Amino acid sequence: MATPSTQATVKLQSNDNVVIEVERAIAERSVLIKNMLEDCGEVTDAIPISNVNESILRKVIEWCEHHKNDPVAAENENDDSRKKTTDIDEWDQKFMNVDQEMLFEIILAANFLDIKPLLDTGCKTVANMIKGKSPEEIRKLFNIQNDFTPEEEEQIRRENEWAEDR
Amino acid sequence: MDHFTPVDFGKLLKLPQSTQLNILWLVHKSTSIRNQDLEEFRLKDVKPPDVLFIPARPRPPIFRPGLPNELITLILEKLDLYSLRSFSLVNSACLPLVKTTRRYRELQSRIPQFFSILHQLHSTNLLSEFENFVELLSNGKCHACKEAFAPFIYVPGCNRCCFDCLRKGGTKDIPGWFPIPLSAQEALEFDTCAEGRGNHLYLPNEKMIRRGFTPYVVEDKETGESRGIWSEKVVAPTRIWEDGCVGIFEKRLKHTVFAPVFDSKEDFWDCGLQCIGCYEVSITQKRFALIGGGVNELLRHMVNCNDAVTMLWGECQQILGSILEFVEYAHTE
Repeated sequence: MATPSTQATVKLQSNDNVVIEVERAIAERSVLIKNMLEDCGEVTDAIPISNVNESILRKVIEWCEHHKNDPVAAENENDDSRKKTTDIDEWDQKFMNVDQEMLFEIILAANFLDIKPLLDTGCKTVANMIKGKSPEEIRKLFNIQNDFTPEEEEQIRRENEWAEDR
Repeated sequence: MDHFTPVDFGKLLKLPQSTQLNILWLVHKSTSIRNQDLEEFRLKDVKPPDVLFIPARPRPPIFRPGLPNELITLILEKLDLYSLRSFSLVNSACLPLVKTTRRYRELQSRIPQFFSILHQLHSTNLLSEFENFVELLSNGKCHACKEAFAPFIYVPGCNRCCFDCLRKGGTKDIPGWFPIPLSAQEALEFDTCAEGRGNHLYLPNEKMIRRGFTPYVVEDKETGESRGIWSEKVVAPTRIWEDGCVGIFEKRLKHTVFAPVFDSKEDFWDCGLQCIGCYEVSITQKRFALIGGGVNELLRHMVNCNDAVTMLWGECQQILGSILEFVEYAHTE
């Protein structure tokens, strides 16, 4: 492993070749970047974030800045309590109040950059959008095509009678 | 017999040796066997039909931009039961994803009866979460009289009820209760439980007896001997059937499932349900005590006893698997 770096900032390069300089502590909210920096030591060149465009990268950095003082979740904190609850704090709710495309891009970016709390918040946001809606409402909301034949739909309904809300 | 000639159809048809199953027929001498007569018996050179592989229906991504399935599953893990069900009906790609979620699998395989019935009935005392179910297990008091030990769960209201409340119909606190007329109540004759609780119902139904209700012991007043109540003496009088009350009575019973109870404070548990097999095991092998013990014993009992699980979940069809996972899940949720 390389010697620990005292570097204060790092440069991140989006896939549309925009370089953004951020505090190292903020960038290290991403486990991917953190590991990269630990492995490579001092990095003067911009780190290419190949899957993320500028607007999403800025958005992710904004989130990381706001949460830079949050305690870092334990490595194995993949427990049910985190999975089940769909409560989102107020700032995050506003942060996630974006169009669907951007929301999914943020989720993808959080997954790529390995920022679990952001990924979790994104998933909760989508889950909250789905909650309590009928299949038709979900289709409309996410513009999903219904590709079931009437017979298939009927069969699935029958299979799901265990949860039928009569 | 002389007019008949044995014909070995196997050889005649040139069947392979392995398939010649002594096909010896007696054919009248005047009968000439023509080639075309044999045609229908001859092995056809049948080729298996070509297997046609139909490419799977191309599935567009559910969300745009396309989230990978593992991310969609992460989202689904945060959904409640109803939303999961709704999502499964959105399109053909959704259902397989829903089926991978832990919640769906647990519910589908472990507790369909409870959840389906309770959700359907919009019970005010809804058992919507596993931990509530565990809580119900741990509180053995009757919801109607608030006093007696209650080994039954009255499903429409999801209320625990004791035998007395179940029998007397004096249960105004439980909505939807089916009262039994006083005359019919008086007609009922039940043995007194030797332990004095009288908390288990003895049904005048042989099939149910065979399934094994809790074998509480009764004392024979004449001989002074103790015996299991299921073994003999049907105590429910026939006139209750004649009174026409059986419908109500049966209806009430059908809405009742047996449930175990444990009291961790007093370190007491009662099976509430118990099969004869378990009882015998407990007596002969002393693998667990009938009374006494704690949560772990109860759970172990349920894990090892499919009969107990089956009875707990009533007529549930898919519940024969281990309940241990369910219980563990209930504790970790």
